[in-house]
Parts: sequence; C-alpha cells; structure tokens
Amino acid sequence: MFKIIWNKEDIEKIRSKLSKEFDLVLTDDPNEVPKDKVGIILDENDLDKVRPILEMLAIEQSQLTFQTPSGYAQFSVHEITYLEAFGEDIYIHTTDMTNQIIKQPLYQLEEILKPYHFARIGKSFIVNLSKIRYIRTTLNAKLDIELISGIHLEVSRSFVKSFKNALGIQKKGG
Amino acid sequence: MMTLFGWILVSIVSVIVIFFGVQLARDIVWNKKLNIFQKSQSVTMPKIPRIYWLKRSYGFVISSLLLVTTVASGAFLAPNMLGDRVLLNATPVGSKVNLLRLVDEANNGGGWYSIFPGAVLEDAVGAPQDALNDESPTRDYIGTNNQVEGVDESDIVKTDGNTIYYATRYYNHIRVIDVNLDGTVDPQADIDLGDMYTDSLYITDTQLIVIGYVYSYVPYAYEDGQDYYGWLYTAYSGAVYVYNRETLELEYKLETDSNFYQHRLIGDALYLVSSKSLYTDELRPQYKETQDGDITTSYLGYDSIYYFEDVPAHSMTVVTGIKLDTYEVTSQAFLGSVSEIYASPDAIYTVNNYYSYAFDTYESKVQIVKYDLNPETASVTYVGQKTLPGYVGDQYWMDEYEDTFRVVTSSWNPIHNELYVLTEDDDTDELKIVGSIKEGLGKINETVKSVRFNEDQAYVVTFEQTDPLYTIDLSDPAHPEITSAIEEPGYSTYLHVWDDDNHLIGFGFSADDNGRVTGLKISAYNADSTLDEYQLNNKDDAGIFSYSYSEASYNPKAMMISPEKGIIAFPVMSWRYDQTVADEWNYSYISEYLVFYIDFGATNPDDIISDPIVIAQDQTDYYVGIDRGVYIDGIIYTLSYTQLLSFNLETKTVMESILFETYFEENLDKVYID
Repeated sequence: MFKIIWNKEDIEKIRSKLSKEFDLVLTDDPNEVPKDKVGIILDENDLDKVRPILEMLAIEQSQLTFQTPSGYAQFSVHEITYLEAFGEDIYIHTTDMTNQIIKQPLYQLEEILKPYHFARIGKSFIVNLSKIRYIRTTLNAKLDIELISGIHLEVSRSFVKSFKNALGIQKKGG
Repeated sequence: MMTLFGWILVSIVSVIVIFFGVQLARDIVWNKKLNIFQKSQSVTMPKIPRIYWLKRSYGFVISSLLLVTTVASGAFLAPNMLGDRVLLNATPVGSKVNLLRLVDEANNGGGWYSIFPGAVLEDAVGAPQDALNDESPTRDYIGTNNQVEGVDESDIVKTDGNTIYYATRYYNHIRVIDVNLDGTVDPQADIDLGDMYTDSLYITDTQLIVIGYVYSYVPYAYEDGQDYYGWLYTAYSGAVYVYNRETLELEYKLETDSNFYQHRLIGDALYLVSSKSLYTDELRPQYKETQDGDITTSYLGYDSIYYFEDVPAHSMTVVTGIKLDTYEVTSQAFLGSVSEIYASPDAIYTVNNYYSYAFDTYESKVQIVKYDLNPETASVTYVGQKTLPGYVGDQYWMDEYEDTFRVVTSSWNPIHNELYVLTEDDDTDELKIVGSIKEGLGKINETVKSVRFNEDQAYVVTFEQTDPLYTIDLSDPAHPEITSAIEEPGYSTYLHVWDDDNHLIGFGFSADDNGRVTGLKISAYNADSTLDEYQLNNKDDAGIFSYSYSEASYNPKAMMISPEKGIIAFPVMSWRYDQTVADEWNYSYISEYLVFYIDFGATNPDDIISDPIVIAQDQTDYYVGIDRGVYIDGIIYTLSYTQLLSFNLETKTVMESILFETYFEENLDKVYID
C-alpha cells in the first residue's frame, strides 16, 4: 500500500481520466487524507498501470525553461511538437503552429527532453513521440513520420535505430 | 506450364507484389510499435484516418490482383505439345476428377447427342499376308476385299491358299480346313474359343489372330422395401487371342474392358480402335495380357487420355497398337465416340458422328481424328483433328492419297452433301481444309449412298429416286471438280474400281421410278454411262415370288472381288413363300453363292456382266446360310456353319460336299433365333 498526494485543482482532471481510461475509482476518505488534500488508494498490483499515467500527467504538466536570444521562455512539454536546428538557432515548434528560437545546443536539448518522450531523429531534429500520428516506411530505408499537426519529418538512416529504441524500449519500466 | 514470357511477366509482378507487401508489413509493424509505445506512455493516441491504410495497401492490393489474374487467366499458359505439334484441340485429361467432370458435362450440358454409337463388332479387317511359309506352295487365291492395299481388314474367313480359317460367328468355333493341291479339303481342327465370340480373324505367316468379345453374366440385385429385384447384367470385354498356326495353341491373350470396334493389320502391327464405357468404376482403359501362363494387368494413364473442348464425352475411344512379334502394346485415348475408321499404311483416322444442338436446331457434325502409325513399333501418335458438318457413313467415304485426306460428308438438316480435302498441319493439331465441293453433290433430298476413291478420282452415289453417280476429279486437291454424273434407277451401296480406265462395278439395289427398292443388282459403269447391269429377279424360274437378300449389301467383306480374275461373287439368301403341300404354305430358304464374270472388253456391252454361276448349298435354316466363298486355284469353296461345298469353275461341277460338326445342342442357349 502506498499513498499519493495531489493538488486539489487537479482533482477533476484526474478523476475523469482515471475513471474513463483506467477504470480506477477515486475516493476521498478524510481519514486517509490530510485536510485540504485528496488521495487515491491503490492496490500494489496496479502500480505499473498507474505509474505511466502519473508520469504522463507529470510530463504534461512539466514546464521547461529555455534560453532565447532575448532572455528566457517557458514551454509546457505537451505543447512542443518538435525541435529543429537551423545553424546556430534552434526552433521550437509548438502545437499552435508557432515557433520560438532558443539558444541551446541540440545535444543538450536531447538530454533534457529524453525523459519527456522526445527522440532525436536526425542531425537537426528532435521529435515529441507523443505527437506522431503515423509512420511510413520509404524505399531508402528512412522513415517518414507524420505529426498530428500534419507536418512530415524524416528519420534519417543513421537515426532509425535510436528512434526504434526510443519506441521499442518499453522495457523502460521493467 | 507457362511460356517464358509468362514466367518473366509473373516474376516481375511478383517482385512488385513482394515489395509492396514488405512495405505494408513494415508500416504495420512501425505503427504498431508506435501505438504500443504511446499506449504504454498513456499518451492520448492520435487517431489514424482509415484512408491512410487504404492508400498504403493500394499498391499491394492492385499488384496482387494483377498477379492473380495473370496466372488465373492462363493467357501465358504454354500450349500442350505432342512431339513438336502444338495441341490446339486436344487436351490431356490428367486426372480422374477431370475425366468425371467431362463425363458429367456431356450428360448434363449443352444438348449433345452422339449418333451411330458404335461398340458393335463389325465384320471387317484381315486380309491374308502376301508372304507365305517357305515350305508352303504358292497358291492362287482371292483374299479379303480390303479397301486399301497393304492394310488388311478382318473377316470371318481368312486364307493363305493352303488353309482356310472360318469363324462360325455365334458358335464360338474356328474351323481350320487344309486345302490340298488337288483341290480337295481336309478339315484339320475346330478351335473352341470358349466364351469368346468373334467375327474378326487375321492371319500372318505364323499366327492366327482372333478378335472378339467375351461376356459374362454378372448378378445384379437390389431391394426396394418389400420388393426384391434381381437380374443378370451382361459385361462385355474385348479380347484378342493369338494362336500359333502350326500348333493351333494359344500364344497370347489380351483382354480389355472396352469393345474392339474396328481394327487393321499392317505388316505385323495390329491396330485396334475400341470404345470404352465411361460408366464403370475404373475409367482408365485396362489391359490384361496372358502369355506363357503369366498374367499382367496395366492401365493407360490419364495423361495419355485426351479430350476435345466441344466434343461430348459419352465414351472413350482407345487406339491400341500391338506388335505381333513381341506383343508390345501401346495406346492413346480420346474422349468421344467412334463411328467409323479408315486406315492407310501410315495413318488411322477415326470419325465420330454426333449431333450438336444450337439455336434451336440440330446439326450433325463429324469429328475426324488422325493418328500417325509407326509400323516398326506398332505405336500410334495423335496428329490432329477437324470437325466438319454432316456425318460419315462408312470407311469408303474416306481416303488418303499423297498426303491429302479426302472425305465425303452428308447432312440431314437440310439434306446436303459435301466433299473435303484435308492435310495435316506441321505445327498444330488442326487438320487444314485445302479444297472442297460444297454444292452439286446430289440433287434435292438426295443423301450419299456410297463412295469410292481411286487416286485422283472420286465416285459418289447419291439417291432419293434415281441414282446419280458423280465422278469427281481430285487431281488438283485445292479445286476438286465434278466431271460427270450418271443417272439410273436404284443405287449402289458399294463401288469397286475395276481398272485404270475409270471402269466401276457397283453393287446395290434396283428401284422403280418412284424410288421403291425392288431387288439386288450389279452395275458396270464407265465415267460417262452405265454400260451393263444385272438384276436379281424377284421371281425364280418357276415363277414363284422370292425375296433376295445379301450380307454384301451392307458388308463389302462378304463380297469376293478380283478384277485380275474378272470375278465378283457373293452369297444370296432367298425367301420363298411356297405351297409345298396342298393348302399348306411355307417359307423356304435357299442359300446360294453367285459368281459373276466381269469383262469390260466384251464386244457386246450386255456381256460385260455375265449371267451368274449359281452354287447352291443344301436347303437349310436361314441363319446358317452361306457366309463366304473362297477362291483357290480355280475352285470356289463356299462356307456355311453346316457345310463346305467345293465347286470347280472350269468344269462347273461340285467337287465335294462336307458336312461340319455342329454345336446346336450344347450352344442352344447361346444362339439367338427369332
């Protein structure tokens, strides 16, 4: 048995998500929960099930701060679709189809974003794996990925393996 | 099998299919992985529109369809080959399943009916070989009336001049009679054939070949509720017995599950055409050979059985060759019936007369199939076929001369007669028409009654009320031409070319002005006119009405003909209705053998056909009348089941009369008497 502590603002969101997608019931027994907090009681067996949900929620809520030419900008992880290097400049493309130039080398960004389901797919691209709608294989052993925004990116040959690992390594938790 | 081009095309399309298939499979795997990943990370998965998958599988589906249709259409199927000939018409049956399907189609689909379904043994085949045993004296004799020189046809009587072999037809015995140099005879033996019935004998220098059938009664019974039905079913099987002529011992026996319909002996190669029922459990032709006490059974494989797309498969025609010195057996078979055959020294033609029903009318059609013969191995090889309108009446309607095959056909609906000249094609199994006569053969409503070919001439008799005898010039095979037509009452059922001056002898029926047949007659023709004719009277010398009949009117083998000796002879049976005792009318039967001398050189045309010499046997029952006459060294030997009579043509006297042992008692149950 373990406990999770949550902010009360998120309660509605979590409640609906849990009941709709994961068939879990949220309780608010005051004996188990400190004042002004709610908690869920989970069976230990459900731990693996819940962990990614919680992580995802955490990721979605994560805010990352990057250095820009004019200072610093903050992004929600779930807003970012992909990052593109253009010489010295790195563009962050977001779901609202805008972009922002930041001043940070791509290899650093790759490391920073790895825990948030991002993967390097080419010399100048990092993509948010949760924003991929469809993968097409092509003749030259590359991959064409279509993002939910409709934008097509190419996984270059030398990055196919790492991309594969990024997708195939569900052993992450095991 | 496919052609090379077909293989290349299919390979290319296959590569495309594989490419698209692999791509599609990789797409599926990748997206599945993505899916699993996103699910594992609880990402709300982006919805993939269905159109994506349709688009991605497009190439695979289209190329697969292309591959399947290419293969299934058979557009690139390699043609069936037989030797270096493309089979356009014949297809190997291949399997029992396919054979059953074809039989089923013939029974249920299309309205095909076979006419003249054969499988009845006919008196035919078997002339003596020219060669004789060295120690035997060479005798002057007249052999079987064969259609083609060098192709022996069977008959119930065979002789080499020294010995007469006579099959007593329904009595399962062969009489062996030696003819001494002084013309007297010594009955040597009576070969008991047991269960075998025959009307077909051949002789070689050392062998006597008997072809016939054996039948056995198979009990057949079934119960239907309270009722019980049972009867004996008659199972026929064709059989060939070969006897050693010296010892008269059975050397070789071949039995098959089909009827030997017709056959020919060419050198020591015996060719048999049989008709096999397709309503038996075993559909492959079966051969059971017995030699030196050993029995071997073999079957003809489905790959050696061919079928023709448009020919109804009511029965199977099997062409079998037997090499008589080694008893090697080879064969080929075709689905379809056999009505008539024609054989030259190099080829056998089988014809199948059938009806096709189309557009509410019946059309008679005839399929002609040619097989090459190899006398060295006694083997047969299918060469080609042609389907023509009409039917072919008998073997004399066909002829082979200098690589062309000539055939006369006659149709019923409407009545129409045609002549075709065919040749074989070097590349395919379709016989080609090189020339034809489609108009002018026969007047309205006249059908063909008899045909005879002689090198580049053909003679055709048609009849309804009068008998036009057409002479056709075939010297240019591409343009056959009717050169003359002779008309006279009656018609000939058989024509014999007498000499190279276009002299013909016709045997047939006389008729009155209305076309009503009145009796038998012999006619002598040249190309332009009837020179002489002899009619058998309806009344005998005593003025008593009689009806005359001769087997020769439908079986030319019953006729003994020798233009060299100027002789034509045949048996005649007369029915006489007579008041032998007061107030008591009785039929009496008179069996006679008539010998005519023919001399086209006679100064008076009326003397071309002589009055006949009449050789009468003892009065007897009609079914044991004179079957045949044999000419050896100036003596005619007449043969009936009960009697042999020898008659010296020079002195015109009977020399000997020998009464044979008969088997009426023991065979009574087997004799069919009206």
